[in-house]
Amino acid sequence: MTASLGRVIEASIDRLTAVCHTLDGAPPLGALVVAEDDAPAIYAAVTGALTGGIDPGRRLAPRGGPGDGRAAVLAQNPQIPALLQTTFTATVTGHAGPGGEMRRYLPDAPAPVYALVRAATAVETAALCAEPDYLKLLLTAGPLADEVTAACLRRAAAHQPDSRAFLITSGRALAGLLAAEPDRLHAILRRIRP
Amino acid sequence: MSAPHHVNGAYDLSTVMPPDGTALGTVIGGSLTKGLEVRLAAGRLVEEIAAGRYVTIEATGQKFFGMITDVELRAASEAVLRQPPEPDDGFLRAIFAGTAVYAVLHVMPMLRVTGAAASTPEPVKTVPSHFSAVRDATQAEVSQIFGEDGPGHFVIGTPLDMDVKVCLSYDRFIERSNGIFGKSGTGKTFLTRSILTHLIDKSSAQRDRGKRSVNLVFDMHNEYGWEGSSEGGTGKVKALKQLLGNAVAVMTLDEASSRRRGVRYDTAITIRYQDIEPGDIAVLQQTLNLTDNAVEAAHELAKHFGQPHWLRGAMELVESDEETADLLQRRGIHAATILNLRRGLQRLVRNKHFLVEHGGADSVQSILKYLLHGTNVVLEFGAYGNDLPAYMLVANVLTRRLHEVYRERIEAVHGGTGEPPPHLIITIEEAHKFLNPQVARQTIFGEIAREMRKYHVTLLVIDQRPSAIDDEVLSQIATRITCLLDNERDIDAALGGIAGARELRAVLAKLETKQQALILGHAVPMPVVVRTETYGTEAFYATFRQRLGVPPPPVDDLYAP
Repeated sequence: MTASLGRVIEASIDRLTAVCHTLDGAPPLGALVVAEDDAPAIYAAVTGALTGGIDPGRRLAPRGGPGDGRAAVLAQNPQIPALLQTTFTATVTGHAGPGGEMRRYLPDAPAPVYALVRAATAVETAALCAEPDYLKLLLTAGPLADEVTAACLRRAAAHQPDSRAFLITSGRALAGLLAAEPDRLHAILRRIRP
Repeated sequence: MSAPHHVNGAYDLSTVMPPDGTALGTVIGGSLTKGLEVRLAAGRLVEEIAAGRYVTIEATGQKFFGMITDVELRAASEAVLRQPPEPDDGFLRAIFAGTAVYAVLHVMPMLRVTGAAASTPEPVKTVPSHFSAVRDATQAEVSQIFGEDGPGHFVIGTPLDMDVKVCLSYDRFIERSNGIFGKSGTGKTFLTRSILTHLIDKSSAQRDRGKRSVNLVFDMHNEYGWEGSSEGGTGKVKALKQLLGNAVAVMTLDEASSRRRGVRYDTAITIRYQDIEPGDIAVLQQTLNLTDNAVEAAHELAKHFGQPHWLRGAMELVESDEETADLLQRRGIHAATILNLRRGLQRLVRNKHFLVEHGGADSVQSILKYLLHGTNVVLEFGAYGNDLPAYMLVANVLTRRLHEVYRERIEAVHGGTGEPPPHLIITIEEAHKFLNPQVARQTIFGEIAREMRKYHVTLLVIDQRPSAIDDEVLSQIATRITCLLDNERDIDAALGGIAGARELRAVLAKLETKQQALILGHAVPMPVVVRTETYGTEAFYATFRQRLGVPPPPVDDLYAP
């Protein structure tokens, strides 16, 4: 099992937000993560990441001179990392059934708050991507859905024995889903072309 | 089989079809009269699909058999066509194929089998439901439909893309008149030779005498008797006599030509003047440029001179002669008509050494003797093959007389006396010359075609212009074996009166120029496109030697004294 990346601090049926254990520790865009903590696993794809002040009401003040790099600023202000946090959002793409089977549709309930979130293993990624149904959920992942979908497919393809075949199969599923939106379809296909 | 996976109106067929590579698609619409629309399965290349191929449709509790009649390209939406992938963009093409764009097969359902797998296929009266799975027909299914080679069926070829034999029903084939159509050079002669060989072979296998048949072939170009020329005229193939020995008698109208060609003929045939009736002249009206009045005059002169002498009498009439003028006046014949008739008759008899005024044997009796003994007769025309009036005259005179004898015998059988003669199949080439609308009602061939099997005589017509054949006659051509035709009217004629003919047009127009034929009608349960047997190979010859139980002696030995 991989180490946890963070903890859920906000969750809805189709989305979750997690705070990373470490600053800048957010998984990459499109990566698959798993929220599970004494509850059936919920699978989600990372749709965004944000690093900012702990207190949302206070904007960070600029530090350091024009010639100072980021490392110099942090060295001069060792308290700063403690004032910052990294959060990431993910859109739910499936969940585990009572028997552990992969279900590529929304769960009955949101991920529990404070559940640990970890990166999905290669086996879990392959299991989720074995059927293209999850793509329908990805395509509703907000304004960056196309970017997220493309990133997710690129990353998932890396875990496949035949990545081109996987991308073609996924592309065919997208062609059906986006039959009425050819511009979106072409945008995604351009981004996943091997 | 799981339920189809639905994606925005597109069905992912990989989830519904058996993964054995035979899945072709799924039914998405259609009707009984217009045929079914079948969406081609993802993963099947449209380029591999040929019109004329057989498919099986798995419906609830029954199977339908049909034929692909057309292939169509469609797009799920117009949008994808506005931004088509580049031709060399394999990635996008692989993605769009079968999803955004797809192929639809038009399938004409023809037969169905309900219940047990061994039950007999029956004509369709309904269609399979939506989303029924469609796959390539298996060899076992095609065999089930067309029967297997045996006394009741003979092999005609193999379906396109399949390694299974398609058979014609022998019983049904001899039952009615049949046609072999196709434009020049499409292999009609080879196909006919092959069919005749099978007919003779199967006839000998019949235990029931009533099912035996004999063939009389009016061999215009000397292709069926002893040997025929192969493709391009470069080689020779064995014809019926060499292949089937004593089951075939070769007769010739032109002994000199037969000898030159080294043909071992059995008998030379002559036609006596007395055998030619005015009705035979009527058939030649167009060929000899005779007027209607001239044909009428021939009948009048036959009454005057008597049947045996009218031909000579008509040719020797001199209209300026007083006696003749008197005759013409009494018979109501105009002098110009006599001129027209005389010129035509003189042209008819000119340079025809088989026409004899005195002496000569009764050729009809000679032919009949062979036929009644079950020996097939091929009548070679030698050099007269290029003389259309000669061909038409001889075919008409002989057939008319034979038909008379057959009619008398069948009537006698109906009266309770005598044995029925073997079923006679008369093969004629250039059939439209005998069966065009102008003469079909006058020739014996038109009569035979129309009366069907009443008197145990049927036709095998070979023609490149089926559109020139009289509609009524054509409608009686029960089994049509059609090689490539590209004239619209000929295609219409070849398909006339056939259910689903509109859909078969595309199939017919796309046949290859050689060794492919569309077969439809009485002797096949459903239309079929076949790659016809290759006639003339050693394997083909060997089949017949084996079937006939004849060891393969050198050909010369067959005729050794």
